[in-house]
Amino acid sequence: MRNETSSNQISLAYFFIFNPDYGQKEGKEAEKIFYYYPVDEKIEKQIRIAGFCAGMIKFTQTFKSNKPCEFVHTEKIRMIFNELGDNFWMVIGLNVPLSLDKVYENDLLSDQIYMSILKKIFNYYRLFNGNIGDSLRLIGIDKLKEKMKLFFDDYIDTKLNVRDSDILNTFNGLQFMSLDRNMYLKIQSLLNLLEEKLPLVHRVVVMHNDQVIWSGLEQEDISSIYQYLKELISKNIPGTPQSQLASKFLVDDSTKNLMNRLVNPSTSDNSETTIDQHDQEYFEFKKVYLDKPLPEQFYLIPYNLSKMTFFIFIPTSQTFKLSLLKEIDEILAPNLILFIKEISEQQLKRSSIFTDEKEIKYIYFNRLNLAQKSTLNKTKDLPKHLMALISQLSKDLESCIPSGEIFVKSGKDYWIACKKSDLREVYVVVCQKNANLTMIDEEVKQLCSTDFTNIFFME
Amino acid sequence: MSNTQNKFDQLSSISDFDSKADSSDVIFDNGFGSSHSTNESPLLQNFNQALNIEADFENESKINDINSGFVLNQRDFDENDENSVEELENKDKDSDNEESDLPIEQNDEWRSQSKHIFILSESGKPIYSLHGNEVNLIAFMGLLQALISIIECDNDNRLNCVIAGEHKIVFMHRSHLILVGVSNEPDKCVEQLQLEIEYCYNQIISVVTLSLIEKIFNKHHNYDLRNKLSGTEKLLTNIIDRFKNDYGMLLNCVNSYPLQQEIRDQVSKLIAQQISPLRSVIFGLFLFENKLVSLIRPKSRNIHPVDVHLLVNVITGFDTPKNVEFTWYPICLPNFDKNGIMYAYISHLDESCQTCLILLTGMCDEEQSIELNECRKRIQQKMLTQNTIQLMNSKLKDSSLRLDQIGVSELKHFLYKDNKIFQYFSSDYTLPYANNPSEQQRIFDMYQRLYHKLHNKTNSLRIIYMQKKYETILGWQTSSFEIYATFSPLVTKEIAILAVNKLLEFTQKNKSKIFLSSMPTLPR
Repeated sequence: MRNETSSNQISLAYFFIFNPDYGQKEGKEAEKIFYYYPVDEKIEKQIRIAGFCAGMIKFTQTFKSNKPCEFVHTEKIRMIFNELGDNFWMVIGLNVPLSLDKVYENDLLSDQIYMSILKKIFNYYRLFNGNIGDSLRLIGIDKLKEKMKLFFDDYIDTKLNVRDSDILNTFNGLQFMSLDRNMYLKIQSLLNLLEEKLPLVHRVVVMHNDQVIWSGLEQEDISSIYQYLKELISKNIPGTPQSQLASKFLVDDSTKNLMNRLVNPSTSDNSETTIDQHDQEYFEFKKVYLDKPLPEQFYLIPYNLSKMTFFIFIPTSQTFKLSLLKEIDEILAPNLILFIKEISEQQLKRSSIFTDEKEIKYIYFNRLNLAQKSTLNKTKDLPKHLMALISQLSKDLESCIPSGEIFVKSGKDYWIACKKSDLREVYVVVCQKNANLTMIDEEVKQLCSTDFTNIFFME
Repeated sequence: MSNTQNKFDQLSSISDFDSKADSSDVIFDNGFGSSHSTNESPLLQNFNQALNIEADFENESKINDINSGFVLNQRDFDENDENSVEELENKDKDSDNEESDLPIEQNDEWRSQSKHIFILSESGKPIYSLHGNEVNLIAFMGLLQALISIIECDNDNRLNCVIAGEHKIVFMHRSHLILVGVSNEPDKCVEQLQLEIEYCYNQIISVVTLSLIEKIFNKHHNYDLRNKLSGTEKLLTNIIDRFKNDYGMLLNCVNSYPLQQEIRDQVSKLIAQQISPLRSVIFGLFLFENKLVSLIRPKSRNIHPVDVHLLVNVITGFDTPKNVEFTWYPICLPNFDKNGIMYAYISHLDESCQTCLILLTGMCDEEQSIELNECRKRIQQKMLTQNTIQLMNSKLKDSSLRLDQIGVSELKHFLYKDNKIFQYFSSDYTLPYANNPSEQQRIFDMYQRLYHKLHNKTNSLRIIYMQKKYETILGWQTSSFEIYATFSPLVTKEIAILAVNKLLEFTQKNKSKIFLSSMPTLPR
């Protein structure tokens, strides 16, 4: 994302990672900076900004606050601090948009949203690179800085979007697929079978297209990895027929060739020994670090058949050979083919009774299983300040324990109704001229009775 | 205050349009002819001269004496003519910091205070600290100044606030002063803290005047402003204390005293008659229990609610012994004229100090003093014959303004603010909030949140309806009024709306009692 200044959009001013324990000697201050974006920023400026942040962190410690410095609001730049542990800090600086009347619209930036974004970035980093403290011990400062550069340069270029962020970023939720009960049980039992027969398989995530059916990971982990899983699926759309073993495992081409050669040996050697002459390292499955219940590293093995994907996690401490992959295929393939057929039949039935796009826009989030659903179309539906308002309201909703609701009227036309029931939240946006509280209440009640029948929302 | 254009507009019989405060030189220049040093009011006698400024910077000609600000409460300035920093050091404001070895920033008790207010000059010189003696905070204040200047050097930026968990730290840099507020009270939002330090800023201006601050700091960056402020620190502490739960200060309204129209008219007429012939008196305020009963003003000028709060702060901040008949207090009213000083003649008209008469004049000399004294005595006499004090106390027995008159039991408390006249009415509290100050404070904090949400610049809201754990609260803003109401938690929206409608009827019906209106004006 390019660095723009004084525009009417929120833009990235800088992003860096530093550790104030380093670079304390005069003349060597730059050592504390482990990563900095934009890369061509003058080193004096980098040092100055990092120094200011270090000072601010120390300053807030004067007051015995329960949390470290998190947000610094200046008129033109918003700074957000994410503490990473081991005295490493991630700081992002955002340019505050300038309105047409030359006023800095600070209220358009919601602190919570950007803090969530920072946490997400770090979780994503940790997914593939592990703990910073461990890395430091294992590979040393310079290699760590290289790794960070590789990762963050790419992330900022391709994934970081500060302009259009909204409350959905705070949730980091998942799209769950609604399944018929029987189907769900069938898939569950298949899973159990897999885990029984193959004890190396520790965790599994089942997805249909980009929706989750079942997650065997803890909340924090599935939340971090969901993005990546979706990417894997979208990158490897199975156009080619999946009769070959290799095409069922979403791997890159070189690994595919390797697998194919192993499965279909051209030589007349004994097939058993050729298959298993290579161990798991050769297949170059992505290694990921999962955090809960204990930090551990796993191989991520994606098994895909048409629209269904099983993501299988095997600890890197284990060894396995191609025969394991063959076994997985043998267990899963026959059942999955049936399942896929059934599911698509059900979906056809469901889509025929699908109602038109509703007038009412809403966002739904379940904090327990991270399910989220949104009928808001960001770009055309809501003015920016309303999205910021929704984010503020979600913070207020936290004080409504265990349940409660907040109705607000903004301007003449927009009403936002937030309802919370234990760990579930719904944000409904109604645009209606000259509506009053009772009318809006009625509409929201109606929505809850059609779309959220199973949830008890207080009147 | 973001709404400095709003003025406290008295509904006089002739409709008044918002008159901008044009430079008040017209009024004050005449009054400032005489030097104040010849006044002989009993209490002002204790200091003969304005602060000896020679010690601090160059001599100014007598003509400019007016602006060389004497700014003190007489009481604390007994023996010494010249302020020295040592005297300030000897004052023990807080017994918190006993250990002088440890820098105060490391003192656990100081660090755990839930609220801090720091005031320092642009160059880092300490001026005031709510907790701890500011003398011990020189290094800390230097740090505050450094943080601000680092941000400001970069592209003319401005440091607004810092948030760390529950702690909010707000910064203000204005008129060569730096004000910093720190709070970890979870219910107070950032805007509330900003409002608070704004009041502190106004309090300082009220003592020193803006033009004097500008003059001093333009010449001497390192000037120690405490020289000008000594004796008034308790006013700062007092205003911070009052801000905790004063609805008038939150809503930008005066605190008015509900009273039957006849009684109020009687009092106002009486005072207006007496002060009308005294040409130098610009405003007359009559307070009962620190709430405004009457305001007599010239036709063309208004007084701003914030200024009234500053005046009341003087009365409540200095504990005047009861036998003192009157006090003169020089004050600058920032919203009236930032650069000029007025003199407040303050007198309690009864022994229990329930009543208070404030006369604001442009000058203060012996003749003035005698004249105003006579006037005050006449007012006192007349009030005695008319039995005014008794009548005002009878308000306690009047049940026509009680909450149960509205008849909706789910309504536990409400605030009604009239946006056109900048006054508000606060109902009494029913159970479970009655007689429970901590619960009432909780309601205040909730309303404070609602207020700032309604008035948010980017996302101003019209209606907020929030159902929380212990109650449901409603905030409603229109161009003519604002309502804040507390209901029981399980109230339905129908009942809430019904209650609000009844509330509106109630305030309409009782308008004459709860608000000041149609006050006599002075022919100036």
